[in-house]
Order: sequence, then C-alpha cells, then structure tokens
Amino acid sequence: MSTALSLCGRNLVGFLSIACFNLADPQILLGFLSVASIDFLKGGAVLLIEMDKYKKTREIGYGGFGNVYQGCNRVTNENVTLKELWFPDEKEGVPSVVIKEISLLKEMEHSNIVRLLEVVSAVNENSVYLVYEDMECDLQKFMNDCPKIAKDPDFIKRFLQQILCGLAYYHSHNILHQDLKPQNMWIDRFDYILKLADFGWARAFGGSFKKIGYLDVTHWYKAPELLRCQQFSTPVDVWSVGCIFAEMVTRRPLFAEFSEVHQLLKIFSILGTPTWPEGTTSHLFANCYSKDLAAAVPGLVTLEPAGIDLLSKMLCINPSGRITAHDALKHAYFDNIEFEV
Amino acid sequence: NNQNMVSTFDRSEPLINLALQSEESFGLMIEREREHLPKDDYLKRLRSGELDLGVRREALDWIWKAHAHYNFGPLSVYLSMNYLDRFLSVYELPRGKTWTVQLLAVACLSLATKVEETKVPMTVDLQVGEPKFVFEGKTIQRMELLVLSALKWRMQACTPCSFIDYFLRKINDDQFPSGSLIS
Repeated sequence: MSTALSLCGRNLVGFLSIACFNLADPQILLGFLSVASIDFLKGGAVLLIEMDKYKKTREIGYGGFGNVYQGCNRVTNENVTLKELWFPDEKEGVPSVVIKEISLLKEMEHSNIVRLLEVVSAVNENSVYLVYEDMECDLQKFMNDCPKIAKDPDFIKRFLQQILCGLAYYHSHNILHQDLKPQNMWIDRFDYILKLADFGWARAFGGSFKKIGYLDVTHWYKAPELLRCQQFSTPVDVWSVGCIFAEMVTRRPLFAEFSEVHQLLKIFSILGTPTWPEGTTSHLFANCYSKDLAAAVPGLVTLEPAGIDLLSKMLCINPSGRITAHDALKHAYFDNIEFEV
Repeated sequence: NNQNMVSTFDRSEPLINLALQSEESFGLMIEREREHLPKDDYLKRLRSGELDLGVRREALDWIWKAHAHYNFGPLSVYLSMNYLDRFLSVYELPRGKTWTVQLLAVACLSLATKVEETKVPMTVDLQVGEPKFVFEGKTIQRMELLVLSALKWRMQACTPCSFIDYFLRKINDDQFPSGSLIS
C-alpha cells in the first residue's frame, strides 16, 4: 500500500509542476483547474476501485437509484450482485442518500444481513456500484419454487428466526430497514441461510422521525402508522415481518390491497377498527382491540398456538404495544427450535 | 397538526429501547470509535514535519468559515475534521499545491454535511468566504469519491456526541434524564 501511494505521489508532483505553469492567467484558471484536478484524481486510482474489475452478466432488477445486475469478478470468476447507484446531479456531488446508505452498510456485519463486498466507481457513468455477495434466490422465489420445503413448519420457524435476528441487529444499530418484503430476503439454497438485503431506504434514525415525502415502500407490508403518515420507528419493521410470517404460513400476502387507503381498511377489517378516545384528535391508535387472528384468517389454522400468539403481538396496531424484534426472538414459539444460526 | 405530533411524543423519552443503553453495545461503540480514527502514526508524522501541519490548519480555517456561514451543526465540523485527518493519514497530497488542499477541504465539509445535516447546499455553493480557488461540481464530486474510497466509505464515525446519552444515563441512576436536565 505504501509503495503504491508514494509512487502515485511522485507522479502527481511531476504532473503538477507542469500544471503550475499555467496558473498565472486567472481567465484560464477556473477551467484549467477542473482539468488539472481531474487528472490529479486519476493519480489516486490506487484508491478508487474501478468498475472494470467486474463484468455485468444479466440485469436482474430495477431500483429507485439504478439497475441491479448479476455479475462476476473478472479475476476470480466469483459471482456477485451489482447494485448501481446513479448520481443524478453533478452540482449535488455524490448524493447524500448514497453516502448514508453505503456507510451504514459498511458498519453492518451479521450472518443474516447480506454482505457488502466493496464499492466500485464508474466515474464516467456518474455512478457507483455496490458489490454484494451473490445469492441466487429470494424468499418470494423460494416459496414459489420449493413449496414443500417452504411450507414445512420447522422451516418457517427457522426463517422467521433468522429474519428477526437480522432485524434485531439492525435495530440495535439504530437503523430502520423500512422495506422488508419477501423479495428483499435472500436465501442460500445450500444451507437455507436467510439474509436481509436491499437497504435502499435504510437510514439511521435518532429516536423518532417523520415520514419523508418520497419514501414509498410496497404498501402490502406497511405498518398502519406508516399508512397514516404518522411518526414511526422500529415497530414498522416488526409489522412487515408479521405480514411475511403470515404469508409463509398461508402462502398468500396477508393484506394485499391496491391502494394505501384500501390497505388500511383491510387491516382494520381483519384486526378490528381501533377506537379513539372521544373528543381527541390523537394520532395514536389509543384503544385497540384485537380480533382473534386465527378466526379472521382461515389459512392460519395450521399454525401452532404459540405462533398465533407471536403473530398477533407483531401485528399489534398500536406501534408502542407491538413486540420488538429482540423480544420476539425470546417468544415461546422459538422454544423448541435447535439453535443453529 | 404539528403541535399535536410533538405533544404525543415526549422528546425526552426515547421512543424505543435503543441498544445504546447496554454495556455490551457501549463496548462496541468504543471499538467502532477506534475504527474511525486516523492511522496510528499520523500524529507522529505531523509533529516530525513529515506531514505539513500548515495544510491541515489551512483546510480547517476554511471549513470553520463555511461552517459559520451556513450555520451548520457542531457535528458537521467534527466529522469534516475526522474525514480530513483520516484522509491525510492515508493519502499524500502533492506539496505546495494549495488548490489541492482547498479541494480536499470542500470535499470533506460537503461529505460531512451530507451525512449530518438535513438541508445541504449544492457543493459548488459551499465554496463561500472567497477561497483562492473555486471548483466545478464535477471536480468536487470526484474529490468526494476519492475521499470516500480512501476512507473505505466508513463515514458514520462514532463521535464524542454518540456517548452523551450513555453517560447521561449513568450519572442519573440508569434512568433517562428528563428534558429539563438536558437543556
């Protein structure tokens, strides 16, 4: 490392002493400096890992900030997933969300969270690529392709435990996922390890914060407080996990309506409409009563009573009454699981 | 409407049980803080003159100026300084070329505000206080990328501020102190 750096430093000095020559004319100065400094940055190529290192093999998806590709490392032939992040505006520089997202991922290290291998720059394309370890299958696909295994109560339990483990780790770092859905959970078909992925909207939070206008996660898994544009925090992720838990058992999305309003009405129709104390305009779901989940959703009859109990605690309409990921892991539902994760 | 929102959430009480409070995560934070420091020999190299202390001073002078101009929060200065020191400890800037120092200062401040502030001006507009050199957006963007790669994109530095909650709790019998005590 140090030799590479000092070499590069020497190159720079050589280049810049020529560059200096022109600096006398203030007219040329501005335009010239940008050229000069770009070359100066090229001198830093030892630090900037360029996109040439990877080959895109197939486009596999489309995200809000760019496409997602399957790719491979040209040297090691190792398969990877490449997620592109565009920089829409030069004047803005590297966008703040990009910096936040990547630097958060850099702090994450957990067996149930997908690993970010490195960040490569494609300077000419005005973007960077996030290089993730490759996982060929997501939970959605797994449920479709391997219905037998996915239906097995022990597998459901193991998957749910892994989802909660990853989520608890996430929350312990003050990070919300905000976009948990089966498509964002990757499964390794060899050892059935599940990893949370795609942190497009993940962001650090301090205590509580308000919904930001452009945030839009798939509303099927959205918690009622998100649908009602209230303040929200970690409980929104637990709600999503509850929805996914039910979906694994019944094999269909629990609340799947075409609009956010219908989504909320559907939630109330299944879980019961909360009542608000008279004369207040409180934003909290103050007095909630819960219908019997097993009775309201017939597909849940196959789930053991402890599972029903955990599910209704995760789907508590009032966010402050909802179980946390950490506590959910201690729930009796997991008592008879072999601890392998 | 907003009033209501505030009243239902008491700011002095954390909404959820953050892991901050446990001893284990306190240990993790100390570890993380260490991972966000300049290389070990940085101070020695600054003292011995191997690294130019003037460069650091010059960069910080301008950062303070721009910081005051935009009224950024205290953490933005701290983060800029952290990025600047970490960058200088791993990357050798060409000596005597003052424009590279200015470009680095702009990039560090711009990155820090993007991590910390909610409202961030365009990078070109950050260049206030009549600096000797003014750069185009594209140039600043490239410098940002260079700093990001040099710091391995680890921008969520654990700062002294990250520990305040923990110690406030400690001196208050493991209870979260009321809002009045904090202010």
